[in-house]
Amino acid sequence: MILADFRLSRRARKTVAALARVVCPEDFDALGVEGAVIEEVELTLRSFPPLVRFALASAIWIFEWSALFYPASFMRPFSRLDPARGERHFRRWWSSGLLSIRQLAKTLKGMITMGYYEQAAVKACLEFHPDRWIADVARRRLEAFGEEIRRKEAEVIAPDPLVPASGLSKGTLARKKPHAAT
Amino acid sequence: MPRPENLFTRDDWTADRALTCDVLVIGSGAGGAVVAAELAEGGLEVIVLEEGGYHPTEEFTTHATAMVRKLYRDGGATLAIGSPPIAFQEGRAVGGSTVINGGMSWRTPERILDRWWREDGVDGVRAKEMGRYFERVEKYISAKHQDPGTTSRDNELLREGAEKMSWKVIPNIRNQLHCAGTNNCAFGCPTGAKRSTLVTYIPRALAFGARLYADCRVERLLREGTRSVGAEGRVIQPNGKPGHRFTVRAKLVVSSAGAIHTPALLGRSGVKSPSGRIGQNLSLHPNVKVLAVFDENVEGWKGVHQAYQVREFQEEGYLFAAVNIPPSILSMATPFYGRELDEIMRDYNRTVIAGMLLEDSVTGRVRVLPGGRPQAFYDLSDFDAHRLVRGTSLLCELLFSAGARRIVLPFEGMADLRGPDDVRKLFERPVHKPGIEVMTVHMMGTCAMGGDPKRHVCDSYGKVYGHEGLYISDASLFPSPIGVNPMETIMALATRNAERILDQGAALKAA
Ligand SMILES: Cc1cc2nc3c(=O)[nH]c(=O)nc-3n(C[C@H](O)[C@H](O)[C@H](O)COP(=O)(O)OP(=O)(O)OC[C@H]3O[C@@H](n4cnc5c(N)ncnc54)[C@H](O)[C@@H]3O)c2cc1C
Ligand code: SF4
Repeated sequence: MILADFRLSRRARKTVAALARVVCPEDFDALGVEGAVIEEVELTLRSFPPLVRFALASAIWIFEWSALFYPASFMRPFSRLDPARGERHFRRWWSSGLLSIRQLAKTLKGMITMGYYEQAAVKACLEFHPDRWIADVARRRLEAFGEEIRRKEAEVIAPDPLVPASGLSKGTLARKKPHAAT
Repeated sequence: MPRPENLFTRDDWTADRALTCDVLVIGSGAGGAVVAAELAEGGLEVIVLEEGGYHPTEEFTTHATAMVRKLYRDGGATLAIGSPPIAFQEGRAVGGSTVINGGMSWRTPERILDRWWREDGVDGVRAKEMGRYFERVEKYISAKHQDPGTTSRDNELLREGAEKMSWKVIPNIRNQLHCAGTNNCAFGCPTGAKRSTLVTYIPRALAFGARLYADCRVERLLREGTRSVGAEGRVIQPNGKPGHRFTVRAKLVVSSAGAIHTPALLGRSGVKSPSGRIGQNLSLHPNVKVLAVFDENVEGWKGVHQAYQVREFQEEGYLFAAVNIPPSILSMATPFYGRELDEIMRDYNRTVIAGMLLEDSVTGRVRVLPGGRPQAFYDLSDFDAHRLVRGTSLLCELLFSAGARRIVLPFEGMADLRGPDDVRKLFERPVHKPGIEVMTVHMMGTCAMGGDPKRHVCDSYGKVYGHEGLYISDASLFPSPIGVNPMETIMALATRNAERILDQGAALKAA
C-alpha cells in the first residue's frame, strides 16, 4: 500500500463531518459513524497522487470558507451553518454552471459517501452481507472440488517448456538449466 | 502463508544494491508475468521489478475501499484529460491489473488479428498462428465457463432480457478454477479461484528461478548508445516516498509496465522511436454504466459478475454485461446525494448495474509530465459519443424488457427513465459530451507493434525499433482496440514474444 503521511487538519475534519451530514442519508448521526467516515476520507486522500490530494484538500478548504460570502450565512463558515443553509451551500457547488466546480462537488460527495457505505452498520441496513456469503460459497467450493483444485495448482509449476514452432531454440536452453520445480 | 522464495519486498532492503541478470522484466501483470515465467523456464536468469506490493490471496477482503487503496494505482484516482474526462483504473501490485480484473478471458477476434496482419503488417498474428499461444495461456489461467449455480441473478436478468429481444448473448469465459461466485474479483479474489498472474505465472516464474522484487519502482532504463542494458530506480517506502536505490544490469530488458507506464518509462529514459509514436495511439474502450432498479430481489453480489456478454452488436463495437459493485463504490458513482441517494441505495438489492464497452474509433496519447509522471489525454469523438448514447439506449431497452422499472443514466442532467417509452428521450436533445460519465479499465496501444518502423514503435514481436536489447510486452503493443477484454490477447502476445526471445536465448546466454 502506498500512502502518504497526509492528515486532515482539525478544521478540514469539521468540514468533512458537516458535509457528510448533507450528502449522506439522514441516519448518519444515529449510526454513530462520523469518526469512521472521516478516517476513510483521510485514507482515501492519502492514496491519491500528490497533485490530486492537494487539489481536493484545497477544495475542502475553499468549500468551508466560501460560505462566508453568501449573505444567508451571516459570515459563518460552512461547518457552522445550520443543516438547511449547509445544504444550500453544497447545492450551489453541485449545480454550478462551471463543470470543474460540479466535478469537485461530485468528488467530495463521492469520497464521503464511499466511506459511509463502507461501514458495517450501513451495510447491515442495506442487507448486504458479503462476508457471510463468501464464507459459505468458499467452503462449498473446497468441499466439492478441493482435491481437483490442489492438483491443478500443482500443475501450475510443473515443467512444460515453450518449444518454438520455428524449432530454433528447441527448448534446449531449458534443458541446460535444472528446473527449480523438478 | 510464508512469502515465496525468490520474492523480495521492501523489508528485504537494508542498503542500495546492484543486481545482474540475463533478462529484466519491468512489471508483473498480464504481460510481464507471462514473459518472466516463459523465459525463466526457458533457462534464462530473470529478474522482475514490480512497483506494487506483494499481497497474497489471504489479504483480500470485502472492504472495497481498503482494497482499492491497496491494489489500485493512486487509489483509483487516475484520469485521462479530455472531453469528457475519463476515469481509468490500473492495478499496482504483484500480478498487476490481473489481480483486480473481472477475469473475462477472450481470444482476440479474428477480424482484429486479420486487420493487424493486413493493415499493420504484424507478422504471424493470424488466428491459425496464434492458436497455440492462446491454448497455452488458457491452460495456465484455466479459461473456462463458470460452474453451474455460481451466476448472480442480475446476470440472469441480463440474459433473460437479451433473449426476450432475440439478441445474441453468450456465457463468458473466465480465468477461474471452480469460481465460487463471491463477486469480489475487482478487490482481489478471496478464494484464489481467479487465476490471476499472482497465483499462476508468478509462482511459475519463481519456481523456475526468476527473482521478483516488489515495491521497486523503475525510474529509467540504463542505456549505452541505442542499447538498453538495464534499469535503475528506487524502493518505495510505506509512505510512498522513495527509499533505497537499485540498479539492475541485464542483457535484455522487457518493459511490461502497462499502456500508460511503458511509454512513460521509455520517455523518461530518452528512448526515441523512428516513428515518433511512443505514447500515441492510446485507445481505451470507453465504458458507460446504467443503474436499473427492479421490483424483485436481485442481490447481484450473490454470484459471479459478468457471467454473460451480449454480443448482438459486436460488429458495431458494443458489448453489454452486468457488473455488480459494492454499495460504497456505487454510491460514489451515482449522481445523487442526501435523501435521493438514500432512496436509490435502499434499492441496492433490487438493482442491476449494467455496462457497455465501446470499441473506440479515435485515439489519445500519453505524455510525460515534468517530474516523470505520465498523463493520458483522450477526447471522445462526436461519433463515439453518439455511439455511447445509441448503445446505452439499446442496453436500456434490454433492461426494461427484463423488467426494470427505473434506469439511472450516465448522462449529466438527463432524467431517469421510467419505462421503455422513455428510451427515445435519449435522442430528443443532444447529449452534452462533457457530461457523459465515461470510465475504462482497458488502456491499449501506446507502443504499437507492426511492420513499419515509420508507423509503429515495435516490430511484430515487441522489439523496439531503432534500439537493441529492448522489448515491450504488455497492452501497449496493440495496433488498435480489440473490442473484447484484452487480458488473454496480452498474455498470448507475451508468450509469442518470449518464444522469439528464447530463439535468441543461446546468444543471450553467451553474450
Ligand atoms: C478493474 C479492472 C477490470 C478488468 N477486467 C478485465 C477482464 O475482465 N478481462 C480482461 O481481459 N481484462 C480486464 N481488465 C484489463 C486487464 O486486466 C489489463 O488490460 C491487463 O492486465 C494489462 O496488462 P499489462 O501487462 O499491460 O499491465 P498490468 O497488468 O496493469 O501490469 C503492469 C504492472 O507494471 C507495474 N509497473 C508500472 N510501472 C512500473 C515501474 N515504473 N516500475 C515497476 N513496475 C511498474 C504496475 O504496478 C503493474 O503491476 C481489467 C482491468 C481492470 C483494472
Ligand atoms: S467471483 Fe469470487 S471466487 Fe469467483 S473469481 Fe471472482 S472473486 Fe474469485
